[in-house]
Amino acid sequence: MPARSPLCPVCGESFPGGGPDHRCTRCLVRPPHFARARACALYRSDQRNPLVEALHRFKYGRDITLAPLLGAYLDEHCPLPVDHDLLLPVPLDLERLRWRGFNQAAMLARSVAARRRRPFDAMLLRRQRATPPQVGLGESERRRNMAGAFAVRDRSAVRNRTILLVDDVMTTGATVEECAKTLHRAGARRVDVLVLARAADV
Amino acid sequence: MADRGAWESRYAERGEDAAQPPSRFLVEQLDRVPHGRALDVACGAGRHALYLARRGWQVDCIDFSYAALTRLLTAARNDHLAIHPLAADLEQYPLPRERYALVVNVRYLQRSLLPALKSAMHPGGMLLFETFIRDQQQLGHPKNPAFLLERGELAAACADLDIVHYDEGRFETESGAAFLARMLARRR
Repeated sequence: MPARSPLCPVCGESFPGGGPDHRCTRCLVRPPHFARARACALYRSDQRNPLVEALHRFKYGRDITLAPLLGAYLDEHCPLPVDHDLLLPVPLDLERLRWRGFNQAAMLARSVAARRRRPFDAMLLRRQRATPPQVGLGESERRRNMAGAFAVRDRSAVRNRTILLVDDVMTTGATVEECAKTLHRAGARRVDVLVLARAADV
Repeated sequence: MADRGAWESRYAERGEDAAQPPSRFLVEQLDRVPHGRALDVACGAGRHALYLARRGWQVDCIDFSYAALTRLLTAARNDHLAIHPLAADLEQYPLPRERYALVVNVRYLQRSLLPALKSAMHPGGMLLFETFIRDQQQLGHPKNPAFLLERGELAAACADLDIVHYDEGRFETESGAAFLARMLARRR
């Protein structure tokens, strides 16, 4: 199912019931470094979801022929205007990259960038250390866990740019928040986040 | 190259269950292994990957069959576990080096893989190996000698490791009687 209003205009969290969009408590208390985060689809981890199954086949089944299809889905169901100066994927750490052989977020971002004719760079933002799994951590522990995980290779390529950060899935948003923070410190004007699927039950 | 289609349909039809109990040998030996990151090769539907992850291990696991991994993924996602599965052909896919505290190889035999399993452990890491020996032919499958160890073969092939536990013979396992070689060995 797609994310529907009412939702948080910042992080995109969808609220049950009716009424107007409004900021969620988390974004009120601690405004994130990204302007808007949106997902093409919401999923529940205890339910089957064809999009998530296709994503798993891509990612864990290493079926990279699915990248253009998932990229097309991301592009066509994108709830944000894509007018950014630059599209960047959330980077993988080197060990994970070697394990899987490719960065699924980079393949998705490249596909969207090509369709929208926007500049794309898979190397500009890098993960400078592996982070322990976020599983079982609370919100502030997740933030601490991610702190300093990313770095910008070339600040001049980021300064004053509007950036669309792309990832395959978003659970708590701690990863994209740390990326956005890193990009802002490097001088980015605005960072938006686009993900294919977002967990609705975290 | 093994026949991928045959394994995919085997899993799709019969389906080893992710809820299948883990190897008794693994369960017995696990507290002798220093905690850390584990690699499970030929993980199937993930009975060992899930057992380890539920005990706080970070697990990388590989199987040829994506159909098998989907069962593991469903179970892992519902429990929010730190498991990184990968569908890959172990005869081709390069394994990480010097990374794991534990490498698990249960009921799988690819003789050519042994050097890669050893180098995947960091020094002090442990290899837990449990696979059928030739005598298993009396009881049932596998019957192909390519998938059966000769007696003493595993110990000889792991002479460069410190063997912590080794036995061979007929065992009552979590899934009935089987002729197995079982080893826990530490990388120097």
